[in-house]
Amino acid sequence: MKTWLQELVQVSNGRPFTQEEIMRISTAADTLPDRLAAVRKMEDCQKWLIRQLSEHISPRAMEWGLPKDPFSNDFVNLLSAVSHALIADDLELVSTTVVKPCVQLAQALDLPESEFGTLFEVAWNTLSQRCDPSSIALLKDYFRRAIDELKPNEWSQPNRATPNETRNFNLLEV
Amino acid sequence: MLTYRNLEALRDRYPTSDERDYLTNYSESMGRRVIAHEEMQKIRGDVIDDMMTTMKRLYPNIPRYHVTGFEKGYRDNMLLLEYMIKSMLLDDVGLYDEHVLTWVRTLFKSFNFTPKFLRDNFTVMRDCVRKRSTPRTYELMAPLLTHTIEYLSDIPEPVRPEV
Repeated sequence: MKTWLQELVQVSNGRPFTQEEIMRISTAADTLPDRLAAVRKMEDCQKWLIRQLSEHISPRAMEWGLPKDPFSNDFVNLLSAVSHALIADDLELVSTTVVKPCVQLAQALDLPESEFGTLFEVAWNTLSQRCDPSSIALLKDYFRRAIDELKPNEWSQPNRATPNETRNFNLLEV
Repeated sequence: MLTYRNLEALRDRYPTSDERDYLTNYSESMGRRVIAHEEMQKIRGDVIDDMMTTMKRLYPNIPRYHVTGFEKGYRDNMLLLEYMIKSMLLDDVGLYDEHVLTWVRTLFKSFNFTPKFLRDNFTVMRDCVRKRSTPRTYELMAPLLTHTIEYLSDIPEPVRPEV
């Protein structure tokens, strides 16, 4: 789970950075204030965002036999992981620090991964209503990546429970 | 400690106001550090040449104990300076400590170098950087050079010094 910069430091072991590498480092630093501003926006919206997600998930959670508000804490962490990837200017981190935990959580709860993709869609639609264009432009790719990886093709996931199935399932036992 | 290379602390929380200040400062000072990095890359060969000339004069007996001592010294000093330059660019002394300084101290101890020899070596390096670089570049490099002097000379006296 190394960032691109950690990888770069490792591969450049003992040799100077190339001009291209310095440009990458410099560009990431130049755009950092804008990315920090977008992260600040996310942080400001977080409580409201989590509430919107809870409202979306609650009816379905009941159908799945889960507590009313099963993912709030997880989503606080997942949104922080998105902001961490954005600060690091590293879209690839989304795969390991956002998508992977979602997949693991989905497997533990026996839910389709695409449900988490849908939650990210809801989060993005909600967040983008409150963000300025500059923050939207920066955050969009990161949410898009999470959504695309969690919902590459909803129809290709066999034998997973659908939201309509009622199951006798207790989250606390996971 | 948070650095732009090591953002691990932010994986499950948002940055604090101090951390935001650090990151903003990192961004704002990057231009200055890129210029210093470029300057150091141009002069680093000359810096090491200068310092090796001085060290040969101060420690003429090194080849008696270490046959290729000055050749290896050139290589090792170049490596250390290269990591200092990278750490300066990334405003990250931890990078230097983790990647090179810790194991180099162990290596130097095994060569039976004395604390004084190492202090002299890196003080000469600092002086050579100061002479060859602009004041703005030296200002950015000086903390790393001083850190190197203090860290690497902090070893016990060897039973049989070989310098």
